[in-house]
Amino acid sequence: MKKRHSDHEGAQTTAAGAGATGFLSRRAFVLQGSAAVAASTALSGWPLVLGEELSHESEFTAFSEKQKKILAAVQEHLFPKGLDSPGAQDINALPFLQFVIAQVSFDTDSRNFIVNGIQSLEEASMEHFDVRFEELDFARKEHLLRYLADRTRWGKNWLSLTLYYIFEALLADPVYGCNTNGIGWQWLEHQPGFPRPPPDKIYTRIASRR
Amino acid sequence: MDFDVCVVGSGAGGGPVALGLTRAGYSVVVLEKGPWYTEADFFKDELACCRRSVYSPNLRDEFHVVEHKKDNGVWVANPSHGSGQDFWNGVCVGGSSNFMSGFFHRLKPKDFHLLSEFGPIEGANIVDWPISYTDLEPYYAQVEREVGVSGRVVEHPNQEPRSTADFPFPPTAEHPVAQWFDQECKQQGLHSIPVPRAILSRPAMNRQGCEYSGYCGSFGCSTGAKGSSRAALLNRAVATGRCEIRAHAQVYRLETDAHGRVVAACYYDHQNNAQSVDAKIFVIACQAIETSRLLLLSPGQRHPHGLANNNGQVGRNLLFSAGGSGTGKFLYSDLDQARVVALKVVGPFMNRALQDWYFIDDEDLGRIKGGTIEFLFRHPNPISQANRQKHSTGGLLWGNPLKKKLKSYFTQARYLRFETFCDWLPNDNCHVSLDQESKDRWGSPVAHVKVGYHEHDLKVGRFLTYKGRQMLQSMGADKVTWGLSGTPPTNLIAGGCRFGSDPKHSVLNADCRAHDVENLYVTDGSFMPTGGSVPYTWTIYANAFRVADKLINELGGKHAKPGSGS
Repeated sequence: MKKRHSDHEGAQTTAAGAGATGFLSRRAFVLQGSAAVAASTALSGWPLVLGEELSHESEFTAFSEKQKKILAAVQEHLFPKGLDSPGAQDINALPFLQFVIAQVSFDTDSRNFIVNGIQSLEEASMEHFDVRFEELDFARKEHLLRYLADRTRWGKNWLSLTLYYIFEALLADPVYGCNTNGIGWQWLEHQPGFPRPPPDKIYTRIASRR
Repeated sequence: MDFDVCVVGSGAGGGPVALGLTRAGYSVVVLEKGPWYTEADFFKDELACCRRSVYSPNLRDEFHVVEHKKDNGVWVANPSHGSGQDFWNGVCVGGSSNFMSGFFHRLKPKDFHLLSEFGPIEGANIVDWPISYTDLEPYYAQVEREVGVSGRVVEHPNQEPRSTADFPFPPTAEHPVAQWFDQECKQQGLHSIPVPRAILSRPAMNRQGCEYSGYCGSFGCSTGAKGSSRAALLNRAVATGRCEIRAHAQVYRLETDAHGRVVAACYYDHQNNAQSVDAKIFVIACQAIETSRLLLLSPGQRHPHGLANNNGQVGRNLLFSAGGSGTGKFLYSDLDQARVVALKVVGPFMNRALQDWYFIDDEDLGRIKGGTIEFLFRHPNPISQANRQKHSTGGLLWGNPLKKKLKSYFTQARYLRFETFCDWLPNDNCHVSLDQESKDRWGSPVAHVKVGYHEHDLKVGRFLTYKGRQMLQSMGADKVTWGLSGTPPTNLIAGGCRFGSDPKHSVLNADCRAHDVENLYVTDGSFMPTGGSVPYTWTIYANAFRVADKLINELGGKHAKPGSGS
């Protein structure tokens, strides 16, 4: 489906399952936020989390430490840091993805697909190399991911989705704890629109009024 | 009686009625299923507007079942929550007009009698309108003043007649590339049209002027410059003290009495409690798909097959806008420094269109109805643009090759687009009905939308798309990609309750009153029997103001004593 005079690419994104809707599980926010800030400096984008009140329940609370290691390794491989460009960790891609899928109305199928894909990748890594994915060298990571992308349907979709949320982390407003200090905008010489969203008007807050 | 008039829906079809009636002294209640956002809620946040679509319902709760024809000729139906085919375009006070781009064009006089002018086309249900351009012209002019349309009139072969010399507001700021376009048109003997915009170019009517952030379409306007029904009309209606807007009011049924008159609009409030409101007159303006659905959800003793549907016309002849689009890549390395600087300007609008082929007289195609070609910059939202860079001929792209492609895409070129608008011919395969299986979160059947198109639409679209490609190439585009299909745009919807003089083939009469329900009117784009070759919003606004005048007369004229509910 297309739209005229609009951001019509959005429809394509949603059709691919990458733009599934959802707003934040506030309970998950609190639980993750407390643990996450203590756990890693990479999670510096969580102040919004800590400000949320506890009200909704969500089955997903946070990635496990094991899942985080695998996912972080995948994200950094897909979007590595360069001499003059940010990498996945620089834009807080991992905590941002956790933030997104923790929301209570985030599409359940998409959430399960993202989380289960981590396990599937780990199993594929053990099967092919008998080594955990995050411990593979660059060449074997590349070999495995290329195999999954080109030869398996789930692998292609999972990697496509993972890339999509890296793009969100790279180019969404820093109010969401990603795109740190606008580093993604600066790298791509992108001029954001104004006014930019304040913390009390992020999409989770707007959606809660529906 | 609670109110003189109950309006269901607060978008471009509802706002003019609410303002017109309350200003004339009547009491109006507006029932809007969405929340009431204001300028204080609108920011340039791609996640909010476009990646999460928070201004529309969650598709898991409220969706449509969309039926389309596959390449093998088989019709298939899928719920929109699975396909992403989102026909909601902003569900909140002011409706989709909050998020429009405000590209405003009037219809041409010939658009009102296409059948007489061009004759029938087999398989298409083309009819003449029961009113003429002359009937609507004063209301087009009223929209220019009341909604606020900025522009400048230029002479061109298809300039429609006007009762005023020029627009009430000067044009919005124009991008330097618009001059390239003008020069190219001059060389080719074409007529460059500055596109009127429903955006205030200067402060007026307690609204600020445009701030030119570079982000407009799909975004709510944080200054009030965009002429949404909410900012331009409903705020003023509320200020009269005679308009009550009830947000979060999901109307699920219109109740009728033994005579077939509507006596109540039944709705669920924000707490999902069933409520109802009564009024002398009911005006439905829920956007085309939902208006037909509501009527079909409201059978009564005199209307066993749905309200105003005794002739089986409700939901038929749904319209979209046909045509294609293309994108020209302007490589900075191909241009001199002055042109690169000009291309990189962000904020002002391109605002250019061609209507030289609004009517086509071609050796191969013959004399047929053509359309409009709009020229505009690619939408600035970066996430969606970045996401499209991950695909390559070798499969998914990642790592340094991806980053190199991203860097090049964002920093080495700018992209100018065109979109063609031609008539979506009304046909028997494009309609709204109630789905037999799926229900929304309140238990009501959802709309089943069949989206068949007529092959003639592609023929016209192909012609216009070719002209658009030629223009971008002649302007210096390095590469022009284009596309054309019968897939409907989900934000340009009309028809389903067409007006006409014959009750057997229309739902509404010339005043947009249901033929067989004396106090029921429809004022969104549903009334349109043919759509013309421009975006619909200006015509919807104008017609709703026209109907508002009819209602005022019916209720006793302006300055009448307010009704019992006032």
